[in-house]
Amino acid sequence: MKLSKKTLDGNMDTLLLAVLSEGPSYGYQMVQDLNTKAPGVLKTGEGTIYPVLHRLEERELIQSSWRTGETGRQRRYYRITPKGKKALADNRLQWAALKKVMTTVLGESPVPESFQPNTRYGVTV
Amino acid sequence: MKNILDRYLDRVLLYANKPAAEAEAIRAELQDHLLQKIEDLGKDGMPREEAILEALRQHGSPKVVGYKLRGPFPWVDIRSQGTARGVIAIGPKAVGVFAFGGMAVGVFACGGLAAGLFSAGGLALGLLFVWGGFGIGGVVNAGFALGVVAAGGCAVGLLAAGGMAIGVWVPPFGAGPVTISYYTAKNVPPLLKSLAVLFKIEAFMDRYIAILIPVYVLAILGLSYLQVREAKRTRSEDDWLING
Repeated sequence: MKLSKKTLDGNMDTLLLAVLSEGPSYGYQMVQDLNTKAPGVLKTGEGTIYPVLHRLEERELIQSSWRTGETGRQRRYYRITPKGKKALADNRLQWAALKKVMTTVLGESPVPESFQPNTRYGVTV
Repeated sequence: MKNILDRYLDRVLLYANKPAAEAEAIRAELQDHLLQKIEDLGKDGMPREEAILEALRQHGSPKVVGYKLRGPFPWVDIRSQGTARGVIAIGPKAVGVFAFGGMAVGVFACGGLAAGLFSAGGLALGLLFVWGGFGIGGVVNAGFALGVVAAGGCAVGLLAAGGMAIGVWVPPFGAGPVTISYYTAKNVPPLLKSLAVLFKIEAFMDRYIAILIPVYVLAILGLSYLQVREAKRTRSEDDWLING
């Protein structure tokens, strides 16, 4: 069984907003955070985080600024905006409601032992 | 000579097709990510050459990253591979307001398989006007036409006209050699009779077809030209990593 690319792509916005709700961060660090919480979630597609971040910025859910990082290189930092916090809160509610509905209908089902990493993302949640 | 990192970023930006200033910002951001990754892999004991390749592998295909950077629905999206999405979308598969492609879905769709409000193509499906080899929709003019108002070589519809016309009502002036009809001219309901005006006004169908033929031909030529140009653009600078 695999967690599909479609499922992941559709929820990457929420995952990134959640990461940024813990404090300003930059792309690479966000990937590390995601990989810590959900190992391998972006295993072979780390670069695909940037289109999502740029889209979130266009929607004014996050803001970015360039600063000199620890390495001396220019680094783009992102922070969540009030609008982003509201969107994240809404998404959390949506998830909670969806989870409740799905659990009610389908019942609790543990992730099976046979769960295999997705070939693209290597998801092992 | 460019190093492997620069060549990877060149390729990403080639597919992203962004204005120069924006492209530079993207390059700087991705470069920072990759360099950090290489450093971290190095700290874990991986040889630098191997770390570079691993960082690139984990960063993803330049084509995937580049295309995603184009944004969800730009004004114009032309692709030589994959699905183009935009107000004007051109590609092997296209989704847009004006969609042109092998498979096109849009308000105005034109292609081998076209679906939309107005569609033209080999197999065309449409809610309003349809023109093509095989057409299904509202007002259809096609080799095989299936629609509310259908005209063509073989027409099946509420109102049908053609070489072989099968309909609820085949108007007398549109009947071909073979006609199968439920209503006759004497007992046809007024609504159908008034719809038949579309057939009676020859100028309507003539003009409709006269507009569609050049639009279709120009669209196919334009589509082919733009796709070839895009394919050349993405291949011209560097074949390296083209499928990586």
